[in-house]
Amino acid sequence: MSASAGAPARIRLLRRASRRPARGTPPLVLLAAAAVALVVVLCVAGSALAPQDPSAQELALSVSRPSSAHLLGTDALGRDVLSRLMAGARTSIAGAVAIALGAMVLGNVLGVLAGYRGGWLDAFIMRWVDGMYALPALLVVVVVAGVLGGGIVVAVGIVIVLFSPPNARLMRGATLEQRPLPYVEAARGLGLSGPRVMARHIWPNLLPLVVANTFLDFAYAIVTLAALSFLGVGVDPSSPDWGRALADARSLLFDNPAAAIAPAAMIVLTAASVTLIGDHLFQRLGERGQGR
Amino acid sequence: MSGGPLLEVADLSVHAGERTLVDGVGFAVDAGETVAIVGESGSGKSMTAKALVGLLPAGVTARGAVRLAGEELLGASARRRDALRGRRIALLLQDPFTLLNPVMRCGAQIVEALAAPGERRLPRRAARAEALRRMAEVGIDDAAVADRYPFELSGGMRQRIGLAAALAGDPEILIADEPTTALDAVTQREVLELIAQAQRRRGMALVLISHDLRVAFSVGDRLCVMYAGRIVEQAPVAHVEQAPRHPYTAALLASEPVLERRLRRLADIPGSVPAPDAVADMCAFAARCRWAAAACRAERPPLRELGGGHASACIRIEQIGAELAPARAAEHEAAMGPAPALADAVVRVRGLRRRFAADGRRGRGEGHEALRGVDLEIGEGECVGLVGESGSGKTTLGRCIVGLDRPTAGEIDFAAFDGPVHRRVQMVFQDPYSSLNPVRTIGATLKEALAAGDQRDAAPETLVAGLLERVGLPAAYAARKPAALSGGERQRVAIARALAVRPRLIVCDEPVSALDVSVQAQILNMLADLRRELGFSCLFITHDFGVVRQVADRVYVLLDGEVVERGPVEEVLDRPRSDYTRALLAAVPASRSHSPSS
Repeated sequence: MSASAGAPARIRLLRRASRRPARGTPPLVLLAAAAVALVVVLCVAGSALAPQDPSAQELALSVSRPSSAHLLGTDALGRDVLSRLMAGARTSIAGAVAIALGAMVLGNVLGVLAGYRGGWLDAFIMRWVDGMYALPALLVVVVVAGVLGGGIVVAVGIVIVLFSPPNARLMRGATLEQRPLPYVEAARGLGLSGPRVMARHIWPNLLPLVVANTFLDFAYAIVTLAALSFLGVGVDPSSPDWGRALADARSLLFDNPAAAIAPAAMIVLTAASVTLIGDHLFQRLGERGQGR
Repeated sequence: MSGGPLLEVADLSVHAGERTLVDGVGFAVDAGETVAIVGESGSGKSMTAKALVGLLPAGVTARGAVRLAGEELLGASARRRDALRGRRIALLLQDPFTLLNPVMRCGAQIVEALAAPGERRLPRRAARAEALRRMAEVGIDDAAVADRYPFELSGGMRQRIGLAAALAGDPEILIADEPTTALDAVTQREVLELIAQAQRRRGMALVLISHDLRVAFSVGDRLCVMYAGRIVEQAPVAHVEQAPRHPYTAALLASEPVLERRLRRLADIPGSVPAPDAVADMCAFAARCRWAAAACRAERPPLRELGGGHASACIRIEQIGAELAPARAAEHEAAMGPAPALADAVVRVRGLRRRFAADGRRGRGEGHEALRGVDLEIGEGECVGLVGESGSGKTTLGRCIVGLDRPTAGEIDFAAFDGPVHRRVQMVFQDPYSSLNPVRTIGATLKEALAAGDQRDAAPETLVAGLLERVGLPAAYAARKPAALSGGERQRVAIARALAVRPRLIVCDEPVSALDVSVQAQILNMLADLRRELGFSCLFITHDFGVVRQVADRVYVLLDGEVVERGPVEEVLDRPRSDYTRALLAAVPASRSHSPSS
């Protein structure tokens, strides 16, 4: 009884606190945001900003160590590693964004639908999800993309389908939690249609979870795509993609370590930063229902 | 042992950071005595209880003195407190569903409490025998219960196990924080009696924390009334009942929905409980008190002894004392005439059945029948009360009428009105904290309801403002989110949402049971006004006979999915024909000054 009593006062405190600028944004999250901003800039204007033409070959300079002309040295074909790194951001990131968003949409639709409707539809969707869990993901992409061909688009499509089941399961659980709450019943009692109740009432309340999960998926997707390009699936060999660059540079590790370490570092940096931001957003959004 | 009181609390303050939750509370409990601490949400009563046993949440600190038989508890080491807690001072919590460890068998939870930390445990067999003996003390004779897990037991059984575990260390004083609030009336009375028996047998002292004046009156020797973090009145129970010496206590008593007769209007207390810090240097109740004078706001009134063990924190009590009692009596006398005869029915329910499948989470065994052939009629403009304990099927019946649940058999006939169900019937839910979508503003919620009801005779903003005004809220609330509203305010919004579609019938499922008494009276009065103005019918689901008496014209009593009694309120409550109704009425904690219904 008394626990809820402090509510108005607590809210006043919260509101006062939220007016303070940059409240509770930890330095690490700010750093992660800076890293992500850098990657975004590279995605938009990476090739333009690159000091040299990323695909210009200087076979004479094949595998050189970092120098003033080539800050990160060159690769086997004498291409500038730094320039390729900057130009490669777009292909590396775009695919991951597509996967994260695609898996979110597919997973959310299926999960909320299964949780809200229940019955045979729920059973059908969830058995499909169980089935998908049983598949070895990377192997499926390698085999299917290998058979179908079709490069990056097909690979991304397959990864979306593979990424959506965990999403669907999470959203179903969260929907089941919201569904019996009186505000959902009240919306149903007003005669609102099922899709409207799901989209306008339940889904916004799942938003913290959706955002956090999408960010996590994005981080996984970067790594997965990198692994795929490493294995030579999806990405065209001449593309400056990070995963591809890592695969190619692996044999040069002793001649120009920077050629392998730099793309690997970019993959790790991006994935870690995005995960951190996702976590932070989850906490902030979680407070939203309590705030104003 | 010293000759003083068993438990002595002096100038106890509890703070959460800079915020004051309890402000200078002092009282004493003698051995074997029962002190009831009564207050609404925000009064600080639960924090006081937690401070007594040293179980304040993280970030909350207590100052002042709490002495158990002369020994200071607040400054004691954690180890010393652990040794005292359970042994000499024990705590019984409110919620029977969370007070027991869900993965431990019940017997083990009692055994665990038998030996003090560091003490030798009893041998296995002796421990079990002792646990069974303790269970028998709280009225559980079935030894098999010791081997059950808490989830296999009803709320009442769990609360008994909790009581047995609290008593296991043979404490000299038991602090019970709302021990029966979550229980049905009949179970509540049983548990209260068990506590009283244990108390008599052991000569144990009891501090009972409750929001329910009736419970406090039925068990307490002395009463402390708390308001905004401090004690405003302290006296023997009988004194308070007959002649409260503080305007707040008087108002609280008057706003209690009485079981015995219908009042024209409940005496609500306008406004809401202030934060203790906002009223630190004045009388906390001044803003809501009709007798408040400049002196009341000038300084903080001390708790003064008025003689006969009666203390009050009202500085004007000598001037206004004479007015307090007559004001109450006047409010009680204004009874209402008999209910109007039944008009045309808005809804007729015939032979309604609802069976929950065996494999569903709600069903057990070969399926569970929540409703077994219920007939019910609600007349035009009538308010029908639906009474029953939890599990009686009353909520299922309401949900079927609203269309949220589908009956297995039977029919629900909305006479002389067609169109979709939601245009005829709306529902107001029990829990004001989850019945509004937390991420949408009040305005968005109401606009959606207006659209659903096809109400377009003005701009939506105008209609929303009109709705808010109807339920006594400022129009500016449209921009707020539910979290910024108090429980009572949220319930007003929920009622506005139901009104938005201009329904013929509103099903109110325990709409005031989660609210404080004074707010409860506000909402009940508002519902009565709205019904008079708008003429909708009402199905009022509740477990509280006092509330039924105040709001309903006719009443149905539901037991295990069947109607066991129906009729006009006066008849059913004054001359109950079924044994079950009689049992329910008898379980209402009797306030000692009112005579039982004639």
